[in-house]
Amino acid sequence: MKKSESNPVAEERVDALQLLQEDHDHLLNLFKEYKYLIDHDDENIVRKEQVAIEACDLLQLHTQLEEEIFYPAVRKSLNLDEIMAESKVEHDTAGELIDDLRKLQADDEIFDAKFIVLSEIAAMHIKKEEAEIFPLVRQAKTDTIALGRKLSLRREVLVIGMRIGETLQEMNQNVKPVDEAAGADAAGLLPDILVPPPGFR
Amino acid sequence: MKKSTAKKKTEAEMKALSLLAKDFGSAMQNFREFARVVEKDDDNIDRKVEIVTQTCADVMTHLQVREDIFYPAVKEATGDERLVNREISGNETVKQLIKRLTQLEPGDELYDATFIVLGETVAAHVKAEQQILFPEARAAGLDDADLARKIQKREAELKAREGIEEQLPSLNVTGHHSDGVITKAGFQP
Repeated sequence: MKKSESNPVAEERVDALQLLQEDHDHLLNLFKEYKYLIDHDDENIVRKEQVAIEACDLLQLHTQLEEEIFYPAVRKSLNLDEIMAESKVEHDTAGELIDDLRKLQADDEIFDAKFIVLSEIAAMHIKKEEAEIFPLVRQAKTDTIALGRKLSLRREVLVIGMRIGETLQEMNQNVKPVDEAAGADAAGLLPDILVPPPGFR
Repeated sequence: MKKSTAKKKTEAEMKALSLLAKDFGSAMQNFREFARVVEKDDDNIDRKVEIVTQTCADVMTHLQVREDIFYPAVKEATGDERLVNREISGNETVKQLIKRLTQLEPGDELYDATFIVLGETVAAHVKAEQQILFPEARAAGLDDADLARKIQKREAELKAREGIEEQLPSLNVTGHHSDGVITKAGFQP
């Protein structure tokens, strides 16, 4: 998530396609790194987990932005219903895999398998989107700067929302053991905003 | 599908990997035909449903044959569980898409799209299988006529069940073991 945080809303001109492209490149790099880790440094569970969390978070954020803002905007100006419907199906498929991954531990025997499948589906979708949708959007002279501004604003909101969600979940997790064993160390209750989202542990 | 009887003779002598390499052929043809039907835009729903039903049953059979016969053989011969796990995960995604198709009305706006994405997913899955799994299987000496016979036998058994409805129970996509099972009920916000 580091990259998205450094994406300041205040920045004057953000082209929507460039913004989406950057996400794509970032994702593909994460997939590449994961593959490298499997092939060369398979015991490095910590790094694998970091890469997987970062990729899943970014994918979720990215697909939500596309569905909420990008697709509706370009769907109206171009006749893209078919391609959009396919994108929706691909997003849903990726979403299911992300849900599965979030329930698994990074050292689970099928974690790698799931993540690789996710990366293949995402890569396929990215390729199609860049080849079929982006050129049409450029051709149609869509105001991609205005669209880019909308996207970055919404992204900021989503990132903040994600962090609040993580913190709340973290607090809930920390509260439970205290209920079970009253009088446990109260210091454990303090939420740590910087910890990775629960579910991956 | 009718062609298979005429080809039986040659297939009997075929080795396992050549058999598996071509068994998605008719499904891939169907995906292409579906694209043509959609392009024509005459909304030939009957034809679409026919293609979808036949293709899904066909794909399910091929996945099942792999899970029942081929993967266990690969696992035993190579000792490489990860290789097989990956294939099974890929199969699950394909099955999820088929499951979703069976739940959609043919007129649903996502019906065509889901089938098209299914086609792309199967194509990618088949390609990955040939690039990664097959070379390993070949190196482990699995490319023989004996395994081919087992595959054909199982395929015939599965086909005898006929129809996607019969195969739906196996669409429960239960995953590899009881941990991390994907249950649609377990949705978390």
